[in-house]
Amino acid sequence: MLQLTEVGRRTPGTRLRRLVTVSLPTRSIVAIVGPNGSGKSTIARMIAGLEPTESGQLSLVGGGPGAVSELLPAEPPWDRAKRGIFLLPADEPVFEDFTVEENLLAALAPFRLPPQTRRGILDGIRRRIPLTDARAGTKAGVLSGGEKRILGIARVVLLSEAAARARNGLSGPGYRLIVLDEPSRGLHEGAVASVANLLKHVAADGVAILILEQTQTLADLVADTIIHLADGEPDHAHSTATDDRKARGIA
Amino acid sequence: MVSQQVLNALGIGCTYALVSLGYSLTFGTLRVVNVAYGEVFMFSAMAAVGANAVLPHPTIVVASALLTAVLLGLGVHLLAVRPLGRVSDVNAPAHLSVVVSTMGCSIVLQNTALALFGGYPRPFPHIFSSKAAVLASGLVTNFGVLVGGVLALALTAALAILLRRMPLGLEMRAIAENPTLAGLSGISVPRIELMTVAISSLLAGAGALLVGEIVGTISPFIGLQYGMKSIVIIVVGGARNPIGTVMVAFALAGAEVLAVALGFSTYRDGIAFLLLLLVGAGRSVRARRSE
Repeated sequence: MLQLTEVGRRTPGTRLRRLVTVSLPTRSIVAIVGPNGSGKSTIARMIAGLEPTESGQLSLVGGGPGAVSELLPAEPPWDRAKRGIFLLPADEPVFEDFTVEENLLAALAPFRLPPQTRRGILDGIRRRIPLTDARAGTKAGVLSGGEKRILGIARVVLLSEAAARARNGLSGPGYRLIVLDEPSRGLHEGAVASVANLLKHVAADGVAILILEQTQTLADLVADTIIHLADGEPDHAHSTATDDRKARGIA
Repeated sequence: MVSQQVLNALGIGCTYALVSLGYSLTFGTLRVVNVAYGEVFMFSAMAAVGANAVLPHPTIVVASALLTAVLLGLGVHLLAVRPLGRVSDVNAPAHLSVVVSTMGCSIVLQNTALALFGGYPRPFPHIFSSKAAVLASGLVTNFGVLVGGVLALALTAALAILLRRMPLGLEMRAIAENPTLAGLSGISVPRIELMTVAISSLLAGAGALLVGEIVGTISPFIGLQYGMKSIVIIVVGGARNPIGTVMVAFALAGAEVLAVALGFSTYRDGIAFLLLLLVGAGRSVRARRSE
């Protein structure tokens, strides 16, 4: 599993540091909630290989007793993807020039899959996310913000399933992680609930999920652990679900 | 007489189509203007001439042209394009620096060709047949025109299918549209870029063979001429639009042949730029109307 140790953005000139220490085991859903500029996207970009890890550490910890931990090497996003680590970016979740269908196919393109597995994965996603079936021929660029977000989520789920089954995908322990930057932005309440439902299933399937959000709604529905990055937060934001509930109870 | 001219136009159109197809593939996918592409095309034609002087065998001639094109294309990419970073990072100066660095490559290539082969036009070895083919209606044509027509059509179709239907084509289009998201989707951006450059260089090599076959002579200056015309064809026909590119290529060839037939042969090479001006003016008028 991936272990984050004091990862985050150090704001220069102030003593304020928002660093996160948390581990992301398989089947867990962790949420980091904080306002704009608190470094959520920085964390997401570091995990996905879009930015070097300047502060803190990302390490892979093996399962079982006597687990060894190794530093996640600096590598480009496509190598992270081969490792089973995927990011839904906040501002560009889909290929706008592609149709909905092509967006799904592009997610499968880099992975070598037997045709039957490929069809199975596609059918599964169409069943679970009806939008991908109903609007298959529509250009992604004309979808609403919320629909794009849902298509983006469909893409990362597809990627993680493809990586798990591809012949040129995961090597080794088969750990998979999905990082979602602002997955509920632009979604109405009902859509948030169905995304929550989907994510629970994906996690139960053996995927670790990290959600980075400005609002609490989705996190409350699915997260096992919620970490708050707020102004005036102490140096190390590290909490568990119970801590979090206590904290909110007091507030 | 008229049908003879149509045949000539078709022949020249095939050469424009093939060269522009390759150019539009790199331009559309990598979003860079690789000025040296025309010289890669020229050099592979010269390599065919050179190979023929040493070992006059069709296979050797074809292989040396294609191999030279791919090696030079990849060389220019690795030397002058990749080190400057991705241009589509909305980094305008990088765009300009790729134009300048590849222009440097094209000067080196052109002068190397001049030093090796001299500046005068050289006869190109006829690969397919040295005899002119006489069609049923009594029209005389170079056999290469027939082969070229089939080749151009087949490659256009193949390219359209690659871009629309194949995983590699999807990956290429993904990189063209949003390289960051493509990388996050497990698409190895540098690897797909290399494959794109290799395929487009192959098309340049095929174009070089065809130009030699149809035009009959080759000089170190054809790179600039074909490169410039290709840019016009791509701009008018649309990057990443193989069918549009090919249609404009044939239209340009038709216009040129028509100009020569009407006695304006001096202005032949200027027609491409007249076309560019007209299309540009048309687009700006339409844009203003829709405002």
